[in-house]
Amino acid sequence: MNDAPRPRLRWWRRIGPRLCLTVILAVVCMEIITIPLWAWIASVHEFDWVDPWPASWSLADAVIEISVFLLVGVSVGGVLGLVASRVVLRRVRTMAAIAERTPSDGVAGSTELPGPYAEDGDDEITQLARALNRSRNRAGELLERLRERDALRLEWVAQVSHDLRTPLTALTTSLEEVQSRIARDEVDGDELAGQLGVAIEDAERVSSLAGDLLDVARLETEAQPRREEVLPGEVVDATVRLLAPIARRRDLVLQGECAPELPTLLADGRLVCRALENLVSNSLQHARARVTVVASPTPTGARFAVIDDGPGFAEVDGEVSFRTALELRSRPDSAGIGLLVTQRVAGAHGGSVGACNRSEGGAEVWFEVGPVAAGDP
Amino acid sequence: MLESRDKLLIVEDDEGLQQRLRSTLTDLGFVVEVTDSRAAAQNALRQGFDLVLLDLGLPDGDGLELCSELRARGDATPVVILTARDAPDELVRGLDAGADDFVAKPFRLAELAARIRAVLRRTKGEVVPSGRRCIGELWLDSAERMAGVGERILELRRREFDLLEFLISHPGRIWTRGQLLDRVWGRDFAGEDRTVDLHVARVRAHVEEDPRRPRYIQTVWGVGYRMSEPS
Repeated sequence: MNDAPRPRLRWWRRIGPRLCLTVILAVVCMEIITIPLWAWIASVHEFDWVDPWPASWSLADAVIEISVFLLVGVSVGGVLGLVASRVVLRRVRTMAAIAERTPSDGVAGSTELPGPYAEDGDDEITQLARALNRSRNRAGELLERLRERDALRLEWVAQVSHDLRTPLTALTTSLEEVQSRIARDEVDGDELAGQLGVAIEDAERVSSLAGDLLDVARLETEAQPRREEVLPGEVVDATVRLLAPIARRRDLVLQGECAPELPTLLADGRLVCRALENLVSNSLQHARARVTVVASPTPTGARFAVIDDGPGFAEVDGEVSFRTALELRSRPDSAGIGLLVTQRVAGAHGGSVGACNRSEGGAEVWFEVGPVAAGDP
Repeated sequence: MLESRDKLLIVEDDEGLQQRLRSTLTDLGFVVEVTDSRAAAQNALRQGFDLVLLDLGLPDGDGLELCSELRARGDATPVVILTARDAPDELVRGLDAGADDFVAKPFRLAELAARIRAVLRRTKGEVVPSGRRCIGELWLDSAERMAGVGERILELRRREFDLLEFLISHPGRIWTRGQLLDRVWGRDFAGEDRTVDLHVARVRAHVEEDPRRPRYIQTVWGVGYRMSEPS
């Protein structure tokens, strides 16, 4: 049952349409009735009915006759008007009842929309029904999209919760271990430094995750990513510069290569950098000796590919779906949010992501973004 | 290890972070004072400091307003902002308010110390208005109005030279497009951000070996540009 108060209309708005219809019908009826009635009166009183005022009539006669006309006309017209207005407005009342019906018999939380409205006929009320049905369909599509987004968000929250708790747990246990060793007076300088180093790495993972989450939140809340001119070569160089220390720590060679004639992109440079950074960070975990970042032009923008000489995607030939890549390349204790961020950044820029095993060994993960800035080849 | 006797003011309301900053920076040889609110910072700043480390979220107001107030009264004390809000719009707002640099939380204390030293170096170097400046192979002589890369002399137009001169005079510092318009073109110039982008592209075409992979003038996406030592 719908307990929502109905909107109160002013009395003239409530009865206005019906009153107008009644008056119009009354006038029509009066016109229709007047002619035969007048002819009948003329025959009874033996005067020329075309002459509206016979000489034999007194004023009282005239008043009585006119009153009879009016009374009969108004009564018949009024009754007909009321009946007609009820018939015409019945469809509107039916539509209102459908619109106010609680979906799914009042099941709490149901997002089923009321309707559809009957579209029999071709009059204005049918047009109204069509418009309401169109509006209902649009609302339905929006609801469906919201449901899908809600489902994705739930999945996302579960992944985030998992990814946050793992490094936080590692961080807490590292610090507890250090604390208990200090309490027991078993402090070995090198060991302590090693444990604190692990703790710092875990803290950095949490920090990086916070950055990824913020980026995803921004991508979800902003209708369009920021657009500015972005040189793909600059993105490659900035990413290589940023991650070179990590590559050095792992004894890996990290290098960037740019194809000639790379276009200038119209994109969110910071997000594109972030997307590439996530791919390179991931490849650095799997490479044996070398990671190469390659930027090349595409018909609609640019492709950023990260190639490593690691084991590739196990038990997969050639092309790999990004979903599979995500599952295979995520850390065992992570849901791969960094790679998901890359996927979303590419999507927000009208691009795509992909991965494959290379025939010469190793893996290639890539994403494409666009469009090309105006005036650029 | 004493490296400096520069006087720093830390404006930070988180007690734990305050203490760690104080002890680390004191160990590094800085003279450190700490305040935890905007009002206290306003009083402390009368003593004169070499640099202010400013947290944005203070209990009695926005740290940026304090920064704007400083600049409005002509105080050029360098300000390094500590912030958890590192979105490009926030950076632009901070730089436009007169901040000299940003350090996003969470940060490593070693990184913070390096940034403080870099800002101090930059601001102390700023007093030299003319002369020859070099970054990598790029050089610029303000007196002769000449610039070059190694042996190659650059043929720059007036505004391109002004822009390069301004950027090379503040190496490492991020400038928003609005700031570049104000400083290079002048406050009366009614240009747009695009004007800066076009001129940067032209200067890059002269200066950079490959303008599509710039090494000297780097883009800080969503914010602006900075002159960097090529790596």
